[in-house]
Amino acid sequence: MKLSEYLDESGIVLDMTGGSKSEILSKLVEILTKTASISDSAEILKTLEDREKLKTTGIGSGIAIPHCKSAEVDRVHVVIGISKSGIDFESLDRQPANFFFLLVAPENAGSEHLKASAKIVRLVRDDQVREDLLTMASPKDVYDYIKSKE
Amino acid sequence: MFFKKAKSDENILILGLGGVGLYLAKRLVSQGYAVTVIEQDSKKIAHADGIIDARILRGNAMSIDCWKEANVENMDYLIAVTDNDAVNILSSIIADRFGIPRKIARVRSLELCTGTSVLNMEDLKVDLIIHPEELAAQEIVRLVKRTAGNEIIEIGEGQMQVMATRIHESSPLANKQLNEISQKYGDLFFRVLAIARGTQTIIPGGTNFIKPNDQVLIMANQQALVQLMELTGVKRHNRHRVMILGGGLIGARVAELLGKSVRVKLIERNDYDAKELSFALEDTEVLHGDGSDAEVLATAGLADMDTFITATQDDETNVMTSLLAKKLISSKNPDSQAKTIAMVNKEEYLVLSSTIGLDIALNKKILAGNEIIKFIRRGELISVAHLHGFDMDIVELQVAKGSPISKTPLKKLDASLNGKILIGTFFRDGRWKIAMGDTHLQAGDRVIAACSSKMLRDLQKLFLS
Repeated sequence: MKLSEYLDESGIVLDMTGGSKSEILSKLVEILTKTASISDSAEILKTLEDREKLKTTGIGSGIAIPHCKSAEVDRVHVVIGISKSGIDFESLDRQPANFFFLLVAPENAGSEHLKASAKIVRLVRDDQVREDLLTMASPKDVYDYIKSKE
Repeated sequence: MFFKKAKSDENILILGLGGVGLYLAKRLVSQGYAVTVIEQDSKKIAHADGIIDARILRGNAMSIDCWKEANVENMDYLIAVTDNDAVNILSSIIADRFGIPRKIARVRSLELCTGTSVLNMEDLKVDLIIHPEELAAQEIVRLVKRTAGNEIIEIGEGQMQVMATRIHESSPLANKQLNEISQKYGDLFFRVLAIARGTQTIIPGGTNFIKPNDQVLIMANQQALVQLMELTGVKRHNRHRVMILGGGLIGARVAELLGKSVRVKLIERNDYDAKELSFALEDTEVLHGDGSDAEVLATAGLADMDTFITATQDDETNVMTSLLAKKLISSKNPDSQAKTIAMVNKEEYLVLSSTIGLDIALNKKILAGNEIIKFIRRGELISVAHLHGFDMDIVELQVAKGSPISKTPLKKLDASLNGKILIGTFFRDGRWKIAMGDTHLQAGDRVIAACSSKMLRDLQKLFLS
């Protein structure tokens, strides 16, 4: 599967706001509910928060990939939040994060969620891609850009 | 055909843009070499063209026309890393006819150029043969034998050691400034060479802080290293129970190398291969089963293991089974110091390794690439080492008479080099000393320094007359 196949334009937000990790996760889950049929979003949020307590998913260079498995979804979903100014996500490099990729996979996803994480890293580890993504004017632009990079 | 102008005086021809070829091309270009690559696959070319500033020719590695187009007579090195052993070997012979002075070939078979081979390296005109799987196996064995899963390398002919270790929240070094650390532990002979924080590698000065979760690279002498390991909570104990998942080239070789001194269990999924391995590996207990299954692992005695190694062909199986094994071991034995080592082909998993909870992730193309770079550099530097997870090299050099670095104390060097190059220790009058700002290096001093790959040439220039 390609990264764009896990994405939907309605799951891309360009003006991410939030003062804390908890608020960002909450916002990302809220975006997820627009792209996937979720009955218990609070459960997903709690799983994500528990996961972050184990180890931050802010991998540095402005990138964060919060993720979890949940029975609430029947396929892998990725939603994207972008913040031009950056928001503190307790990342490994202590720098604010600009790119939030929420990845939620079904309980029986096997290794698909790992492959999806690797695809995200492959995309955004390129400095130019990160610069380009910060200049995008609309969710459609982001979606088309990611598709063009596959 | 794609053409980009090369910019250096040392010319390198690489055959093949697979994992090793692309990694090497990237690193060599960043170090200022003029790299030309011949590759047949247009998809690989399109991918590489956006990433590396090298001259890339589309064509067959065996096409003499292609070699001529690459200006083969001007090449200083041939690096043959196509996925075909025979092509790589034959290329070395062709390169020799064209007069390329140094030839490096990647070969998977261990039967070529060993003591009992019909053909030796001279017959094949090869100066260095690289076996990525053998390198990976040797690296795993080194990690199992040396420490509790932290990386340690020797430098300065074994007199100095460099350890990479992760700093935990409770470490006495956490949240401390380097100046404060060196004052507090002034009687220990050590130096922090680098801090890897997320995707960044920092070459620190005295005012930098060490934060929890940082991976730090510490250079020390043997005595100080032992004390530093205690200080940072690294326990050195011999590992004697090892389980390996996957009986391919790497897994089988690790079992073969460790089997005599360590208790090894190897789980292989394929029935036929498991039978073959049980005959070939006399000192290893070979089990047939799906090692990614928790029940199979438990039945095989996972809970008693000190080290769990995943070396199947599939990255995701290796990562997921390592995580599963870690979880199963700690649920049975919460105090276990067991470590996991996972082979991964995709570099993305190296980036993700710390956040997904892997202890050690190894990539054979990086190991092979580093070995080749070490060979290319050996004529210029005493030694070069590279550690996983750090975007930097540790280099041993000698100060030449009249060199820029011998003309001024270290603190008066070009300020733009701060944070890019770190002079760690130097050897003078029969002993190693820590380099400080007031240190004034002299011709003949041997020095261990750290810098990013991009700065290697600038570092060298400082040491040349």
